Amino acid sequence: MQLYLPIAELSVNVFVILGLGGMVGVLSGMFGVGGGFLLTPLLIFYGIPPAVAVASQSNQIAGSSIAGAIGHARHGGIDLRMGSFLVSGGLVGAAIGTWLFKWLQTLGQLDLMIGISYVVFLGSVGSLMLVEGVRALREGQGRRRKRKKKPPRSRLIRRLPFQVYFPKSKLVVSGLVPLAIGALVGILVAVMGVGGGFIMVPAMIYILGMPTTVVIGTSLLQIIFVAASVTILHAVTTQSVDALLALLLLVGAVVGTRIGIQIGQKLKAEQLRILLAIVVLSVAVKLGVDMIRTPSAPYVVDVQL
Amino acid sequence: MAFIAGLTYCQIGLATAQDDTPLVADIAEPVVEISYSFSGTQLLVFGATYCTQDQPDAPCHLVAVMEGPPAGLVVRRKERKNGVWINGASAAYDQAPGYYAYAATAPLEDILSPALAKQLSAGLDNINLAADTADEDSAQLGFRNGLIADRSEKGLYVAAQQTITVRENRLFRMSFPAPATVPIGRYTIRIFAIMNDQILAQTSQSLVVRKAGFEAFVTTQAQTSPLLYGVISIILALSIGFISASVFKK
Repeated sequence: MQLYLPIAELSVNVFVILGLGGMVGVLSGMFGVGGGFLLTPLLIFYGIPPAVAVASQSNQIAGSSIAGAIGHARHGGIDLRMGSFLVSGGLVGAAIGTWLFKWLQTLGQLDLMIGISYVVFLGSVGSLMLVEGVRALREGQGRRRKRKKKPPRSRLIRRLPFQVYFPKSKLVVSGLVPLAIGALVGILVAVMGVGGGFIMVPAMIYILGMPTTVVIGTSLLQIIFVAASVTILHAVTTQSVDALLALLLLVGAVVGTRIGIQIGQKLKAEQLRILLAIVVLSVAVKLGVDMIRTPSAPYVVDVQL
Repeated sequence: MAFIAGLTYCQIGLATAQDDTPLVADIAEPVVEISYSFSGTQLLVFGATYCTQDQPDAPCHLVAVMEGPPAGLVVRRKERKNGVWINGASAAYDQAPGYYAYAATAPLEDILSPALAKQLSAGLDNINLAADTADEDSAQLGFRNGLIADRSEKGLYVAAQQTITVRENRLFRMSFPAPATVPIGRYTIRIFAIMNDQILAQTSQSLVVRKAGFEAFVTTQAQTSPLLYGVISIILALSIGFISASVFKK
């Protein structure tokens, strides 16, 4: 069934879009990541203009994150004070990122920057997860040790001013750190069309030292606000939010997430982590190879802004 | 139905055309409306002419050129820097046709001299494309060909010559394929009757491609009140997320 998307200005197969949303939903249900890192390149590959893909994707992310965040809120898995710091940073980052997006578009280097960001971020996060997952799997086979030890934080972070107490996470840390992390993620949301959970979750665990029980809920809370503001900023500056596309993706994602959660419960955490690392790394490798390989067409054509 | 009515009109047109107008044409669907189910269409043009091909010594041929609304396009050349392909030098075309297709009763090179083909902008090599960045000519040609190759691949520049079918040496019709990504705006079709590399007669018609119904509504909202549009998009997405969270509550 074909459907004409009003802002993307092309006709798409409804089932392909629902299927893409569903597939990413399965991933997000299994691993607790948004899956935007996979969906944006797939949409672009399907022929959706990159600007429309990124902008509409942020609309979709806001919707799917609230579903997850509500679930976590029911179990008390959200640190509201930490969330408010991350959100404040995120809103600033979103504004910077939207501006950066438009600037790169006029330079003609948007695709390259999106490509490089994907390779760098997905590559490093994927490798870390893979290493971690394999180590955890090995340790688990022997005696299951409980590592109560908090990850060491660098001296620099401890010396920063503006120390704040976060009762829910039971930690004291400079408020500047979550602000900075939030801002970085805000930029990523605007430029890459991803939720940024794959950066924020490790940052919250390893840099802030937050307990894992509140990490995912708090990161989802931040993503809702940042993705919502990015959507509005894109709607105003680039006018490339296709609400119809976003809603179709969202419906697919919502259903896919339930399936993903079912699958996820049948697998061990270490196996999940290794599996996710492989998915993330293969996307990074694919995009990296594309940047190096001789392109099929020596010229690209962009619509002038 | 519209087409039959059109034919009748043509015959009426013929009666008056005898003395001064040897060529009349009309467009089957002068307003193409894009609704939610749009997935591309054929732009059908028909007409009548006194230009005939039955004199072997001086056959008269028809050539038609369809051009879509002008678009500002930037062509960038991919260049390898430090092993990575990046977008390098670029050329901007402010007035490139958003759509281009041509049709004729015989292969163009049999009907038109290169000079006349250029004048009519008939054929892919003769599309009227002026780059506003002055580079050396050889580079210019590369950008131009890059642009045409890209547009052809997307079905926006129709590379193959379309056929004009003529019936009874009088009535002719032709159709141009328009893909789902067809640009919104005004299209013009110019039709020429050519004999011995001379223009005997010409006519031009225009058609409009526009969004209709829901698609038009959404686009208008996104352009005229972007803030409200963004807010509503977000509210819709959040409600779906909210509903799904309550539906799937354990």
